Amino acid sequence: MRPWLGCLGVALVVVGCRERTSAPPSPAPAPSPLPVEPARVDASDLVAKFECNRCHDVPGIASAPREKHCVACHQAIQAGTFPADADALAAWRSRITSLRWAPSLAAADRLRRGWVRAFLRAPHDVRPGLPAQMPRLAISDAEADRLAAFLVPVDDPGPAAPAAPAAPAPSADELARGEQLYRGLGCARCHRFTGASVDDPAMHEAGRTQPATLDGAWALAPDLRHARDRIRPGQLAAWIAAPRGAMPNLGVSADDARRLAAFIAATPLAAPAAHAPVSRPPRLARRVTWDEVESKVFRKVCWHCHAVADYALGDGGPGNTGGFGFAPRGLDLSSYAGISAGSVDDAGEPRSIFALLPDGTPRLVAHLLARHAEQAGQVVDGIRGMPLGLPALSLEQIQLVDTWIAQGRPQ
Amino acid sequence: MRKALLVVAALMVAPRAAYPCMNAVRLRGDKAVQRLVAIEAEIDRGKLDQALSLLQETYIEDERLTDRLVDIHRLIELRLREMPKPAQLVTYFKERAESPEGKKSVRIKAWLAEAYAFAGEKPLALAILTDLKKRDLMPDAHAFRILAELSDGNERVAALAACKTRAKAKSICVLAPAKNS
Repeated sequence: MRPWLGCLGVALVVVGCRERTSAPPSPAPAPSPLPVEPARVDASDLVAKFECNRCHDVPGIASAPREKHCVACHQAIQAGTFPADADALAAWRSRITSLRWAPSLAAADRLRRGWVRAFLRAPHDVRPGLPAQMPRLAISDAEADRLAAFLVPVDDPGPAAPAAPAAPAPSADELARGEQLYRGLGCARCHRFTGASVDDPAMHEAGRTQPATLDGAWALAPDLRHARDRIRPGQLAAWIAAPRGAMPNLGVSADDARRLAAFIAATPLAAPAAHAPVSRPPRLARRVTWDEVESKVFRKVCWHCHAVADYALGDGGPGNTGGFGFAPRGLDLSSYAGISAGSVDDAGEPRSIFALLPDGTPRLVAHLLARHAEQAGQVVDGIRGMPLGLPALSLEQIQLVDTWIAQGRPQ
Repeated sequence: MRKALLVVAALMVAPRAAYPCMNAVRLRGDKAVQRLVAIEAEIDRGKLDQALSLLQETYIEDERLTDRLVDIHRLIELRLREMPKPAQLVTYFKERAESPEGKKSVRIKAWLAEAYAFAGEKPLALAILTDLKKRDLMPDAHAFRILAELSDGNERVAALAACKTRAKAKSICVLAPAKNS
């Protein structure tokens, strides 16, 4: 056991003793558990369309086969069980950082339906430990509504519902107790809580090296600043007392869970850090060839989703033959001829990915810059950020691509 | 006819699941794909004899790779300017260009233009390549070489320069005398 886990045990004992001797009695009933098998809206067609099960466990729906399952495939490579030679496995293992974990959607039933709907339409970074985030899908309002209703079968009562007796506001003592629990339980080992006084980036980073069994817990731990918007009242405490996902059960009593949840929901938050706008970097003066731009950009990232359909035995990935709800674009970013041959537009006609947009930016570069904007919470109309759902390319990489295009794309 | 092109058993590959995001898997794990990639690299470098030699040692069982294999074989024949007759190559690439896949494939359109040029159908070849160039969709240096061969004056100079920029080996930008000029 790592030292911090030992400290955590001590903290739990201390907290437990205090609870028995000095904590006030619970002023509100314990949160109601969710129904065991809530009735769900049928959204199996949307799950199939957007291929949610290529990354997530989806309640009542089988996972995608491994060859199409991004996370299962990466996990198999990490575990050494993927059918490939040892050299290849070693090489890939050292390079795979994204899509090793994805949250189970079975646990989405604790969320607010409205938040889920908005998140599906405009995803943002919720889990700082995951390099990848929910991709920006081409999903309509109606589709997001139905998927949210499927994922969150029991929502907050609407305004027309009879008023439920309001839970009393937590006292200052309870909030102080919640903060004490937050610190004592070592929540910051896995969670960021940006904007809160208890946020501890150094402790969070140190948590990255915890036992391997907690890798998933660390990676999937959400930034708790979103909890008050994401999670339905009562469900946060229920989750802390009896977590159902990767989060370990810390043996927190129902009363302490309620106090900790109250603290998480009520502690003041500073405004989120402003992101400086990213502008197109100047082009390099030196010569950039295909070999350099391929090895540093296209083969490193892009070709995983924009593969050669023939060589992938018919499935060239979501960026080529289609997937995640996107139409086939036929874009092959794995070879010089492939990238030069462009993509297919909405009318089925080939189009250059180097064509200049009205502001003079090549289309490809605009997509790469748009990903930076998306990460800063800004959606660029008509331009989906690439790589989809993955960290933006560095400005140096974008500069390389831009320079190569400007130089006539030399081999 | 296509089966006749699957020559000399050497690489036996049982049909396997497609790994959509796994070019790396295909290239590292599938010897048939590795072989095709190697042949295409030789073609890209203008090493057609080596490409043909590799091709003649290649047998691929997986039907999903057949079209690619046959395209490669026909392309080598086209660029070697040997067998079969130009008209047969035009017929082959025209059929491919009219297939659902070919209608979206810039590469197949460019190969059809190359076949037209080989067959002396200069206006047809020029129409395709001029359209691709206008839309910035020329797939490779070979397409620019053919365009240069079919063009005059500044357009010929510009196409030749683009060929040299995009060529893996400058030798592929040596122009053949235009048949109709």
